[in-house]
Amino acid sequence: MFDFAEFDYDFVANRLVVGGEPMVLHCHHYNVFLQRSIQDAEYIDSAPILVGAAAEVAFAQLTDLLARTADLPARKATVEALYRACGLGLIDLGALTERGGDVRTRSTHYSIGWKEKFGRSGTPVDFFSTGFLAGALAAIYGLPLADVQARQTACLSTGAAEDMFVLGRGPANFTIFAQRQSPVLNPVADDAEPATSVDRQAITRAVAAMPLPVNAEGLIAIFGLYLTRLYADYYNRISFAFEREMTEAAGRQGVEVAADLFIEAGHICAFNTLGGIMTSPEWDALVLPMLKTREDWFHGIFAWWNACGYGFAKVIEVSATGATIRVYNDYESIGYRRMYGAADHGISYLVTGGLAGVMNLIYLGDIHTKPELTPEFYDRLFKRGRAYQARMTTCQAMGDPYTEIRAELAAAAEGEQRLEGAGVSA
Amino acid sequence: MIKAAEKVYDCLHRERYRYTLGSAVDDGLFTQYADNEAFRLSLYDARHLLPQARVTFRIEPQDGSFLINGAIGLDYVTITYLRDPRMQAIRSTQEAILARLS
Repeated sequence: MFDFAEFDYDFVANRLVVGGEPMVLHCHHYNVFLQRSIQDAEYIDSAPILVGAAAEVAFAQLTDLLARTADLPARKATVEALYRACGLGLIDLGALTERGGDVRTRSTHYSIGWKEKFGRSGTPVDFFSTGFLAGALAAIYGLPLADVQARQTACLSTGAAEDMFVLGRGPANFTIFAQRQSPVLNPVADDAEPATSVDRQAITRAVAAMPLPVNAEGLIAIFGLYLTRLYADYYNRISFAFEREMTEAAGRQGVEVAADLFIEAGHICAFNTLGGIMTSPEWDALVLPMLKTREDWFHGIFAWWNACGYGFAKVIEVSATGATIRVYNDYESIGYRRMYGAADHGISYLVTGGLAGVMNLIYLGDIHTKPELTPEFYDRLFKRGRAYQARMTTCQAMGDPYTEIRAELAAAAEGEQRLEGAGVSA
Repeated sequence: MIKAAEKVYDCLHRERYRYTLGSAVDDGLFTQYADNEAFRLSLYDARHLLPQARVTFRIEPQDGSFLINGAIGLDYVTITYLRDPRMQAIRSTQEAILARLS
């Protein structure tokens, strides 16, 4: 049994750190969309990045968590229970030895989530579990991460009856990243927020304490989707390593392409996860009694956001015209600086896309009427005509004291795409 | 009593319905699923933080064939059914239980 409730949520920074790794909530829509966006750039060899990023965080966390557990079966049991508690599915490490072994499973978040969202895949897709298991093998047996190998040989997403992962010894067949620096958090200032009847702090505390039910398949089916509690620095690593590869390949244009993809992933996150939350019985039970206006809905959902491990978001201004939020210690900025030092451009893509998405849902999508969150509704809300666009005006990864995002209503010119995410640059 | 049953889009290819009831949900619903070996009932009470909040609940059978989601005092519940050969029968049973609620 592994229970995240045993780890204190840090309400000063709005982070949950477990075994040295900050953990964040994301749904299968975001997870597989982000991965697919990275994989779609065929001129970049993304598989070693995706596997290596998962191996990096799993190895670091498990090395910490297993430090006081000498018994081998107990070490394996902790890893299996952690995997399940994250909503990643079910794994049985019983057959694993120091030399490696096979891991078979009929339930993994990525394989099932991919098939749910995109249909059948031609090739295995669970790079996350591949890397997680590599990190687990190394941590369980005290091996150097650079001395283990992992590959996925069968995948539920392709129509196979199970996922199969083959672990072994030898020079790592995935990227070994440079050691991350210690995280540096900025103080959260006492900014004035607009008056509201919404008790933002209480919502954040109530949601942070809310149990996430894991079903018999090891998945967290809630808000009409599969939720995970995963590693902030997994998302950071795959995003920023990809962005750097894109920059090498295409210069400044590479950054812009990557930014568009990651902001779109933020839209996906907002529409599905935050939209799913705002149409759920949990929302109606906990938050709705305090909501009178659309602005209240905005305060309510960002109070909920603050319980997801993303950092401390403050509402500076919100109306039908636009909104400004200020985020202290957004996980992308913290992770970027740990990995690569100061950024020369804004990199807080999730919150940029997330803010535009929330505004679209509340002011254009009438989320209070509980619309169905279909792909068609998404296209109507995000791809056509008038919509909110968001841009970073400051970014903590660049040395600013916080990340600030501004969203405004705008229309796309005929035949043009809406430009979004630009703003802070070198 | 069920006042309305509305099929809700579900991106996980299950079937989900939102049932509007004739009265607010109360503990009476739980007595229908009181067999601890067959059903798992989870409650979450955050009223110490949010005095106006309602107690949320989830009811799930051990085989995971459906999931009831709601809160005490709301006038609706959602039920998500796994798509399998037993789905119609399972759905009929749950709807009969909701229909019997006063």
